[in-house]
Amino acid sequence: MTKYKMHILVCGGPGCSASKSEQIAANLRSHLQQEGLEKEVNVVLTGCFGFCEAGPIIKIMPDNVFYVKVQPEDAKEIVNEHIIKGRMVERLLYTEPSNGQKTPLDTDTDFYKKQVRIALRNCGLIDPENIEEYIALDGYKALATCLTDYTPEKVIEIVSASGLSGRGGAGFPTGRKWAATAKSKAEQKYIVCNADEGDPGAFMDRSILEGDPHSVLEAMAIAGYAVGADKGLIYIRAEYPLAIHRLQIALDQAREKGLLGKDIFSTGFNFDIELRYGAGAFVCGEATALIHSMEGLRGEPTMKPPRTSDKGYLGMPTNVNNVETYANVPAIILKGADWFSSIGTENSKGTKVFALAGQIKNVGLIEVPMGITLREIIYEIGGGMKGGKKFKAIQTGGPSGGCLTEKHLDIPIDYKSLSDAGSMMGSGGMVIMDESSCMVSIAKFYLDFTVEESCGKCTPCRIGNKRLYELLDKITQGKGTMEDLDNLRNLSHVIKDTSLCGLGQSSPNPVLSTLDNFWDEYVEHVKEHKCRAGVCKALMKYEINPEVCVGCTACARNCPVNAIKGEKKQAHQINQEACIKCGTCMEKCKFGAISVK
Amino acid sequence: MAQIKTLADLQAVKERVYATMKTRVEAFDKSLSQIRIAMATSGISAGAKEIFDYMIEKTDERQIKAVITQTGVIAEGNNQPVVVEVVMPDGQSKIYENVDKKSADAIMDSLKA
Ligand SMILES: Cc1cc2nc3c(=O)[nH]c(=O)nc-3n(C[C@H](O)[C@H](O)[C@H](O)COP(=O)(O)O)c2cc1C
Ligand code: SF4
Ligand code: SF4
Ligand code: FES
Repeated sequence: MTKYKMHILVCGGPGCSASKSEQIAANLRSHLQQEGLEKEVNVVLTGCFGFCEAGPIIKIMPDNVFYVKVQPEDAKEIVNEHIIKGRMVERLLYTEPSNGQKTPLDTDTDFYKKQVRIALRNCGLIDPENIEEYIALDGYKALATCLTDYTPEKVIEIVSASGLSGRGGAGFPTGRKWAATAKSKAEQKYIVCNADEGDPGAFMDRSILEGDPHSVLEAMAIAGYAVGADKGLIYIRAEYPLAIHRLQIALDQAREKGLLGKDIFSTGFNFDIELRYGAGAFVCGEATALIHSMEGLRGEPTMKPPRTSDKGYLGMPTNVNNVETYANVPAIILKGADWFSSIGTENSKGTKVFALAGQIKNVGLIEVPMGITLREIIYEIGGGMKGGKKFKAIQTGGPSGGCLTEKHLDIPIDYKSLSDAGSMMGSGGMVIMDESSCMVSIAKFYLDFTVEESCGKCTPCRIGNKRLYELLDKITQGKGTMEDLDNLRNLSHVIKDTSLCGLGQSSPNPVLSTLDNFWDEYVEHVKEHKCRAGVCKALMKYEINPEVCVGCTACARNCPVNAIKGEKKQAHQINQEACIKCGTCMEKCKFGAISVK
Repeated sequence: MAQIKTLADLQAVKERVYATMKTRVEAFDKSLSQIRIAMATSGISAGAKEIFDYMIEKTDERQIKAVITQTGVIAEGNNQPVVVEVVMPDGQSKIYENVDKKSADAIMDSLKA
């Protein structure tokens, strides 16, 4: 077996593959072959490194040098310079925004320094299509340990003591959920993995499944042993073809090795896993709706109780956990509950994976210990605001979450502190906004999403959210009243209190949190017909300053709706009734006479 | 593919495959010493490549805990044939010049303690 002297890890995550990482890997392999180095240097296509902003990323080990924004044409130079001569390719190194210096070691960058990788431990390190690489890094050892050394009760005890709680949004203690399913008596029980990941912009679960699928399979088998189930189901959205492909490979390899199937580790324990595909409805991520969808019924939530741990899939006790929740389990078994619970805060243990998006320098996937502050995430890991703009708000928790502001930046984040602040941990989306975002429009964006995604079963959610949307729309049109603002708040509470499932119960959060934290902005829209971010077109007014206008007619000639009138060499005027706020005139005026308010 | 039926089977796969991945994983471990071998043009013609291969093989054989990497020019203006720098976990480093297999052995032995 070859002992490679070097490894070139090429990110095959969603962001980087979109920019040709497979071509980069192929080019590297062919240049290595030309140089006769293919037996010494191993090219591995891995899962996401997290640093998607600077992708495509490659990393050279053991030198621990990482290159960013690599193009397929760079392969030759990397092989010739770095691999053969050991000289770093300067121009492909990452430049740290905080000091403008080139940084070869990823572990030294602000982006990685504060991260703690548990759920993502193997992402960006192993070849997800090779089970042996997973095994080489202690994969399936946790399962072996559970089956041969621990009773099911002991396994549940460890998971409970670790303090692990659900990463799918609600944060329910995982050990307690397992114990409930274990206690239910039935002929057949099921282990379900929720890989529906419906939040717009979220790609945490997808990245885990693409980068380290076995960590989830192993954990599901451990859960099966703990609760007494021999069948697992992964509910994954059909829009994730690469994750599905990798899961299928992983399942085949695990079965071939006897790590799934009958009599695992010669202990008499049987466990196997099937994939089920979702059509991508947000509500199908809710545990009961997900189960109905797998049963071939309509993907609608039902009343709890009964809890799924009593009556789930096909009426049998079913344990449902999220992808990221499972990915933590093998590490907890191997390193112990104390190790895990030493990370995090009083009431939230371990780490959380977040997808950073929006007006921030380092967009990507991060895993941080609970208790880190939003400020650290935005300004250290995230590298600060893009273009030096001023921070305005951070949205956490997706459509169920809320918008937080400057004053929340220093609270240590965990499940409780985020919900106390009026937002949510949710599944881990984080959108950072600067002054160019209008908070009324943001609330409207999320409501538009929930109106679309409400399954329609309960009236407050079906009709109420639609009314919320209409009120918000009215405000962005400049037609809102102060009474509308009161109505927004009242209706939000009614929807929250009377909806059946988590979708309706949380859908008004974006409205309530923006009302609380950005009240002035709502009032401005209503009273002054002003949108300070300049997003609400209906509230914008293009005006020509007669003092500056020289009457060149450029604006009038370019206005698509002929809204500008004026004689040559005389100041022009805009007919506000006719103007469609396209902004063309302002662009065309060479004299800066046109402004927008 | 042989089935894995015991913890020992699993351990055997782990060890076999880990050996091929060692150079990928262990650089993450900052508690290891690093042996850097200069691979500028003059170094290569003077046999730096052979020393590189030799040290990788021998550190493994003798179970010396070190990461071996290649680098460009170690000390600017230093035109000695084969230059090796050893960086200890505490950041201290020492430069060896004119390294051949014999002195490579000595360098590795010095890390063994
Ligand atoms: C509208 C709605 C959508 C949800 N979508 C997801 C999802 O995409 N993925 C997920 O894991 N959990 C989702 N959940 C949470 C699940 O109902 C459930 O709490 C979770 O899968 C349990 O796993 P955990 O305890 O490991 O988090 C959603 C809940 C609601 C109300
Ligand atoms: S282009 Fe500018 S200066 Fe010329 S007429 Fe239009 S507004 Fe006036
Ligand atoms: S904004 Fe567009 S529509 Fe309005 S006046 Fe200028 S060019 Fe005409
Ligand atoms: S997809 Fe490559 S770093 Fe995230």
